[in-house]
Amino acid sequence: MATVAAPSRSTAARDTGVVAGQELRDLWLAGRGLPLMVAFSLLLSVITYLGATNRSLNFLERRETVNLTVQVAVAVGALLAMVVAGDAISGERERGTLESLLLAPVSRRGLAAGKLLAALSLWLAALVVAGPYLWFLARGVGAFTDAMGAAALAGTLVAVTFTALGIVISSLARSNRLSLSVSLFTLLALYTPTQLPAGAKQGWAAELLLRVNPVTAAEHYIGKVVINQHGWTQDAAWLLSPLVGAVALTFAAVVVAPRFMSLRGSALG
Amino acid sequence: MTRRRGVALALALACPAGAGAASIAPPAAAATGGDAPPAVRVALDHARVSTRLGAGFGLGSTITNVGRRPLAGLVAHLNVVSLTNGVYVDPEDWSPQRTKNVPALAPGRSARIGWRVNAVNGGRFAVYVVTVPNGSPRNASAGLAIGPPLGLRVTERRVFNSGGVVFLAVGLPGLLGLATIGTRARRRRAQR
Amino acid sequence: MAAEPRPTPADDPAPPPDQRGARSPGVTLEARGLRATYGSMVALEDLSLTARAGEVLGLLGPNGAGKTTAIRVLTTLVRPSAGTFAVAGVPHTRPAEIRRRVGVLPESAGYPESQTATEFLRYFARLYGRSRAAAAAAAEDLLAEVGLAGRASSPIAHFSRGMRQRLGIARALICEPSVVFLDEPTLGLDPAGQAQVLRMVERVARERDVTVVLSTHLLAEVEDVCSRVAILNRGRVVADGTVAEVTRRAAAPRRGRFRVPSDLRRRALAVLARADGMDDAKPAEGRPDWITVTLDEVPAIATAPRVRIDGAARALAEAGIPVLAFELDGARLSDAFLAMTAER
Repeated sequence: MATVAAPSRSTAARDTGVVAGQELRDLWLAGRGLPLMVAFSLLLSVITYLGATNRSLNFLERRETVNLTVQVAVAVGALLAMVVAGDAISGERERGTLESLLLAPVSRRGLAAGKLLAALSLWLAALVVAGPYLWFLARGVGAFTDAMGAAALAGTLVAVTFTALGIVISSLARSNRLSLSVSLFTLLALYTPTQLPAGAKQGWAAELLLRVNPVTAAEHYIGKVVINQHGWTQDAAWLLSPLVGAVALTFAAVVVAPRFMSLRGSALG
Repeated sequence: MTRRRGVALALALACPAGAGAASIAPPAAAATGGDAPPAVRVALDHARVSTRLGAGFGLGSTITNVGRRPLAGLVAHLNVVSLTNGVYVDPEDWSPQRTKNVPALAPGRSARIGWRVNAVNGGRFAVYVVTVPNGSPRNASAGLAIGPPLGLRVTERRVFNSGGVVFLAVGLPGLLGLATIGTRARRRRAQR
Repeated sequence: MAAEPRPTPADDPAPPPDQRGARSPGVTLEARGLRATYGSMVALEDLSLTARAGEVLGLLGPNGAGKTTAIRVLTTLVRPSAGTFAVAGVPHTRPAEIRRRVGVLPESAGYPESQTATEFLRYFARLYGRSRAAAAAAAEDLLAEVGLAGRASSPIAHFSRGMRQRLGIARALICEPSVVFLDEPTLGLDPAGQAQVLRMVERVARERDVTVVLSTHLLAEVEDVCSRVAILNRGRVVADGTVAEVTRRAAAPRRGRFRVPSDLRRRALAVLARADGMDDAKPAEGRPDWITVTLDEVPAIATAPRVRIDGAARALAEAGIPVLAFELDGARLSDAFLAMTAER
């Protein structure tokens, strides 16, 4: 089916603001946002309780506990944002509400960008919720600034990467189920190498793969800052792939994928 | 073990625990190596250090060629030993790069080697430096030396309060739950 | 209702010479030779139609005729592979401008269940460029217009089908459109709901002087509400005009029934068999005092069916046979529709 080019005179920024505003209201006042944060905080409560009440942990293991909490916050926060993004366009399509949106004189880029921003709010909320837990765990070992800083820096890049990917997949998928399946599979596939034993991560090939994968690269960076107390710039090269991923996928989500945004979905399914 | 080495390894740490900075004692005596005439002498900048759990400090050492022949290919290695029962030390955690090459030393010359040490566990520890020849037959015994140990005391501040963590672990989800319920109730009231 | 300023002439320059036909006075919708395909399937072959301000144009056609595709093309959701069209004087080459001038109620319109009616309309008003205050005022006015003022703060999840359709019409009017497209607006409604929606459609066209394009398969609706009708079949308009014109052009009524005293039925049969314009006369099955007649195929308007029936009635009267009643079959849009869409 032929698709219609985006209107040339619409103000994309205004459209983004209007769409983001409504999506945020739908998500936080009437939708899943707050219940998801409750579930997220329960998860962190368990980790914090176990970490805090174990008196046999030495200094390094306490820093590792802080690191674990940061990694969980980043992983779950990015997952939540991605799930919401994965529903953004394909969900509207399935619920029959996409046609009305496409008929309104709102630019498709504005539509995609607004939904991207609204989905990212889940990551920001996750970061804020994780703050008190990290403070509690990290204060005894002086790691709070390291933990929050690493989470904010590397975690945001990972979250933007996955959220934008969710928008791209959602724009193309013919069904919501397909969109969410592909999104989750991609996230899991990229997270799997983090579970490899240390021995398997040796060698130039393994290091290259770890650097190229934005998830493992961010995990490495966060670990070095939180556990080994490296400076912010000491391992900055590891943030290259998360940065490239975030920029490239945001471009794809906001500029490229809207061209294929249609009533039926395009490439997937 | 010689008597001097045994004395060097015995510790009498009576330094008060510092609030933040490490307290440092004057340099210790030179160490010896083997039964042969010593060719290498290892000296540390400090004899005693007191610090807090999680703190890091720099440790400098001076490697001197006290023999008559030039020495090359020496390797200096830092080690940490726990003197507190039940405290396990993984030296890898204490210092990121424990083995360092010593530059070639002419007779009478010295080289400075430094390490970064992180206080990973609480308790009493000995930190010492050994020099080891790198396998060259010429340095087989002349290059082996052990320096005097640094007496390290790491105090551990108890900061975790079970009651506090329960307050956080229950309180924060509860707060968010209340916010959720309140938001929904307010919306339902507005919709009537 | 607070009126939004219409685009200035600077925003809406005059179309090139080949498009000026679309600016015929009163013509708000003009399509010529539209073609649209879904892959290898041709949905619109050669669609041409016009509509004027204040008209309710019925778009009729069997399933798969291309009604929904036609609406999607005219509302710029689907790009045609050939042909031109203009909506409210705006050529198809400016889809963004067209979208600002049309309101649409899609056939399978969904609604965000968690939003209230007011939130829903405000959102769309904002998407159409209104300020927050103007959007709020527009939402309130439109909800009153469609009879949903009392449910403004209710979540759409609690709305019935009829209420959702009314809400959809309100949303279609949010931009003060020149042309409103309603795709099967009465689908799934009970008769009362259908009537309510149709009255609303009439009122919208009359009071706002907008063109309403009503896509439906319910012929009674078209007869009831539409000032003009276009019958689609296989992606083409096969008949276009007023209901009467289309009916007359497509299928002149060919059958009628006379009721005569049962003891005179045999004589009446003989009279009718000889009457001009009658092709056949026979007793109606199961109705002892009725006679069914079939009219000749006569194309000339001078011998319109009603004239021929009158002639037959006169013949019966002259023969002393009273006509107690008569019925004229086929003078309905449904016959025209079936006749024009019969061959597939």
